[in-house]
Amino acid sequence: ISHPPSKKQRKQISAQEIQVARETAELFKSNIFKLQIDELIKEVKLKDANIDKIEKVLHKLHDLIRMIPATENLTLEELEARFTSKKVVIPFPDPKPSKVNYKFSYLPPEDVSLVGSFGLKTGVSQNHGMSVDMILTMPKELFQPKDYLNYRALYKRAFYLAYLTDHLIPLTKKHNLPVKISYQYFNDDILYPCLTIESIKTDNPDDLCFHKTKFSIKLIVGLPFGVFENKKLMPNKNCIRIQSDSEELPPTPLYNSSILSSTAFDYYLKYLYTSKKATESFKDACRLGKIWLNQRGFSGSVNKGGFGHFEFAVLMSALLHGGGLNGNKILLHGFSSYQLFKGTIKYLATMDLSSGYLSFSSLIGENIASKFNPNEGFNVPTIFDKNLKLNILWKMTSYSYNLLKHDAIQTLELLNDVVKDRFDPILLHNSNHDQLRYDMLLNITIPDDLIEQFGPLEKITFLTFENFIMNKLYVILKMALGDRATQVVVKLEKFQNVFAIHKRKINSQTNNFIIGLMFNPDECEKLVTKGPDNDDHEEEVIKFRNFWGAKASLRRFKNGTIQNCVVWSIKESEPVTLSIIKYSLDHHLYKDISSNISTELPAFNKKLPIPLLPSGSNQPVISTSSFANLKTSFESLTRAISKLSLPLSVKSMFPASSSLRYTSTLQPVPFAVSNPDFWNEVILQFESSAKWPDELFALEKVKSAFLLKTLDELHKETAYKAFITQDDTIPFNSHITILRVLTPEGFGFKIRVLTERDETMYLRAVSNADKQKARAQDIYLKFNQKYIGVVKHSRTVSTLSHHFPFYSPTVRLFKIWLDSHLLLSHFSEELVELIALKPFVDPAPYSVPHSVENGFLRILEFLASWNWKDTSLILDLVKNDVGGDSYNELDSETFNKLSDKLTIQTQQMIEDNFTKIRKNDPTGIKTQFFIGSKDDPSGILWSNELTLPIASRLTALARSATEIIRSSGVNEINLNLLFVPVLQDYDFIIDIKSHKLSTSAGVLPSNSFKNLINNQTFFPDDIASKYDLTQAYIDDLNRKFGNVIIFSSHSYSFLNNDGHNIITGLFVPATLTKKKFRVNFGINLKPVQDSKDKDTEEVIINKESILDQIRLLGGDLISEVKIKG
Amino acid sequence: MVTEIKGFKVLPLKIPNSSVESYIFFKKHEVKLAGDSESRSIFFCNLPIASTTKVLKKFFQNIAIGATMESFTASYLTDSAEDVFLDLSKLTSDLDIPSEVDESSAKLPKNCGIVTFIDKSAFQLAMNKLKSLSSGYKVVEWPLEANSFGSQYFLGKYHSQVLDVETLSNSVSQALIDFDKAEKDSI
Repeated sequence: ISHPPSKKQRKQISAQEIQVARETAELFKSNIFKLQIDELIKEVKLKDANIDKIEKVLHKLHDLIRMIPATENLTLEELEARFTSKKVVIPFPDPKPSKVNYKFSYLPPEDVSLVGSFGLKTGVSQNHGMSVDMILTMPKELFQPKDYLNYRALYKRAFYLAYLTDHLIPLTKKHNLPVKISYQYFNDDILYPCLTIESIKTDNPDDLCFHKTKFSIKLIVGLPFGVFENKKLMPNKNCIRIQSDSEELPPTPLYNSSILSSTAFDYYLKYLYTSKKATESFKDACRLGKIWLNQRGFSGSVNKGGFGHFEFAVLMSALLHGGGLNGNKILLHGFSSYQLFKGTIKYLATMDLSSGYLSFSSLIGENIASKFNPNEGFNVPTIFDKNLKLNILWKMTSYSYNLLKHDAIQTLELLNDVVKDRFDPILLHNSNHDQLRYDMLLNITIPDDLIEQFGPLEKITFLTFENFIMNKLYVILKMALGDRATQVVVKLEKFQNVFAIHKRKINSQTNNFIIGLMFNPDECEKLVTKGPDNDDHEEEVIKFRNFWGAKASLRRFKNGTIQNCVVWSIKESEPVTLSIIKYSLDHHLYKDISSNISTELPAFNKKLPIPLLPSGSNQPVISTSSFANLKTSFESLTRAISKLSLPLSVKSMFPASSSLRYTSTLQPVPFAVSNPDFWNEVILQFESSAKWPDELFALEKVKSAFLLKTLDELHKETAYKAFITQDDTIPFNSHITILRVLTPEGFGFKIRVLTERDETMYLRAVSNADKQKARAQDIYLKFNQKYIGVVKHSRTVSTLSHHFPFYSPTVRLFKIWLDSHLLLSHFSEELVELIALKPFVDPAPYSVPHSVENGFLRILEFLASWNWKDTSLILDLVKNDVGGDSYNELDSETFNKLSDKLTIQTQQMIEDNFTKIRKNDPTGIKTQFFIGSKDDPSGILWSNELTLPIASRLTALARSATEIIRSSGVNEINLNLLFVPVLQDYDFIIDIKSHKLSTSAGVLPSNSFKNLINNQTFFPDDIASKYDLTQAYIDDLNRKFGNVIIFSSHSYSFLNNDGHNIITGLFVPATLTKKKFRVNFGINLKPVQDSKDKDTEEVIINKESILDQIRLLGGDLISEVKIKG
Repeated sequence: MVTEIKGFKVLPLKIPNSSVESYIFFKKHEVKLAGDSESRSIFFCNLPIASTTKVLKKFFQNIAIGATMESFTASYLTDSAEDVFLDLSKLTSDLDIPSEVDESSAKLPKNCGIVTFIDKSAFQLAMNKLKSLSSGYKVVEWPLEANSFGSQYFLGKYHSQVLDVETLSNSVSQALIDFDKAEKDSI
């Protein structure tokens, strides 16, 4: 007997099935991915011709170096005499040596070898050029065992380098190798000058020039392996002995690691070479890692995060020998390049190398497992080489490590996406653009005075003033912002790395620092920074009070607890986070330094109109309280109507307006009837009935009967004011009626009835129409939009607005931008909202925007780069928090939740729809934007009425906007420029008189004082008297002349220069030509006067008459009509 | 000066506040209705905006007093963004329901209209006058009232959308009676 599977068994079965399905999908995807990787690798491989050339140069260089004579036992004074700023200066690091009793010598290098990616043959072709690292190792005889102390080894090395340079200059000239030689800080390490050699182009055919290869050569002087006791140079040791009052000198990790790593170039090359030999795909995986890091702005340089190709390769090697908690191998030698790359990324994403650390051994031959040690970390990112006693990640800071981990987590999600192909954002897309990466960018100028804080102990710990300041900024801001910021990244505005050989060092770097922040949307706008309870944690209380100074206070909260806290307030669009930053830096870095801080985020927030509500200007930008009030009013109305006694009971009332889904351009304000969005669409469904008439107009009449009854009951039983209006939303259906209700809270709702027979009617019309089928289909689409699609869309967008707190203000700013360019009226609101969702639901390669600035710039960037002719936009609009590898622990409940997300099949089906449409319409004349989702797999529900010129105009505008920002940055002037419409293209412009409707639309007029404006508190008797009549004028113009002229205007008259709207007109080119007379042109015509042939029977558009009729129609609304030319 | 084009006569007009000539084209409207063998209607094409019965009446009063109008049939497409009319009632049901859709209005192209006179003599009077104005190329004033537009006009549009409860009630009752009858008749 077989029993049906028990519940537990059933659960297990489904989890297993899922696992198998995933792995199959993964394998399939990994094969596709592998093909793409192979293509990419092929493309970026270095050209053999270039490699040959460069190898010739390297050989020549090697020969020249061997020609350099030895010299011994020079004193410092002799050096100073010989190396002057006239030719070559010795690049001694600070502090300059003086009064030393040891001597300086040059002996030929004990080894010359190629290291780095060129040496390992994992080089990648890059547009900005590549460099070959050539190491010359100083012979051991030149050193004493204690030279690692107090810069001695570094001074000797600096001399060695200068001596080399001094000889190379004449040698290269003499031997036909024309080059420019400069000093460069190796990896931005100021203790480590090296040479950078670039080719000079000459006309001499005997000269060996290599500028076409785009290669430069870095000549690096290394210290001999094992010259010092490694354990003396461990990160926790002090190696710079100075005079100090404090008993113990601080450790000098940067100094120690710089020296230690400079002994190990060849050593690590051998280590990596061994891994390469043992693992077939190691090379390609290294290349992928390098590309991945490059695209995100990471490299081994101190100022670029301190994690580059070398660190990636070493990590991969370590993971091939272990890496797990028990030393278990994370990567296997037989892995493909995709698997190696993914495994390494996964490790970076999931292991915390700060609270824990990875230890490995670089000793070849011994099979020592790499091990991850959780919770024993050093609070700095650490991958520790047990053999060399070096932390490979010594160049990283906490924040560069956090950012790397963040990017790895993002990439892992993309790699785990089985539905969409993510190759592009993972490897092909350069995401190193600060404005698009961070939610807020600050620029801070550090005053010269601060250098006083950079004392001798700080000098030996941080080495440079810049490092010291950046660390200080990080520590203060991290403490001040707490959970509000997920990433706090500090960097120099620019770092000069290369300097001429007649200089000893680069004298001063910039005073400007950039701080990039990524926010946690659930915390960043909170007005209270909470601290410890007063009762316990006395230490913490003191710490809190010391940090916040005068701003710390003790308050009792609603839940009864008494806590230390800081209460912030919003002043003038300045977000709380900015106030916190300013205060904490003033308090802990330097008095009044906040006046040196500049950021553009407030300028973006300011672009949002301030609602005429109490505390309207003091709300955080993500506040939804105005929307909540509207929702409450709607819910009250719904309850009231449901209680009425009607022939059929009310099944549901669906919200269908932008205000009810948090996306209306203006925030809803009570009694603000001049707001074009004042009336909120609602779809009402009664319970099922078989009695609806089987003909469209009769059906509408019955609906009217129900609305009349509802109206009657409302007036009898409630205090709601209501009336019925005619509606012309659906073309040719002039029998639609709407019930409009005004609520005592000050809001308006327009209710239309949907029955289960409506859709059948419209579909029947489509099948019955023969010649006019296409038109009938358009009508059906319109019905679908207004009655069905909008309800689904409202539900989806409402949910997403809760999930992404910054979506609401972002989409509102986007609508304002579109409106400023007279474009908003040409798009359905739903289309605009879907486009604005893109950066939130599909942010890769960036993260979800958590500021209005970031959200808005990302929308522009998307529109500028979206090739809608060839590419569809398919959005997965279901958000849940299950992700990553928790698939293994699924239960069926979660699986069901997951099944709401886009599956491969659905994605494919939607993509097929797009392919079909594009095949029939290759140039995009009928369909431009295809935006598909589970709500709308057809992709054209909201973009059906768009025209090609409008879609093209949007793309062009977005491109010019992003171009302005990319070339001259984001600042208030540029931002204002982005909102200025271009008017030269139009044939005529109608200037509309200003009607000053701001206040009655619920918007605080610009340049006015809040306390002088009175809020509306009641409905006018004649509501229409407060409407913006311009909108009715435009509607009439479109009806009468829409087939001849494309009209554009602002939908919100009062958002620009004192309520002064314009209507622009562009004659449709096809209407301007002469035609043979026909009755059905529908264009105002005049006969063509032809002196030669009287019976031409030709007519042409009567532009002047049309313009005069337009003027006549507008009457007293118009102040002026300006005609082009 | 073109006074005739493809069988239509051309009449130049002056619209209020306009400095240019506008034009309308007209001809006798041929009707194939049984029982009314002779037409008493004029077909107009290229009408200016807001051509209503009132405007047309005034026009004929001005140019040919005695040419009394019976009716003016406007096109459904004149004030519509659509370029072809669909009868959704017919498309959604085979029943013979008395329709509010006027067949002529449905078929008329945009900016066209038909003026019907009370009798043949009125028609003849109007037609002759129009023809003589046309051949003489006399520019006629089009009797639109300049200040009937602008804010009052649009405010009026909003007001007219509000439906009177009683009127609507009656229209609903009538429509349902008609529908029920049509349903019964079809069985």
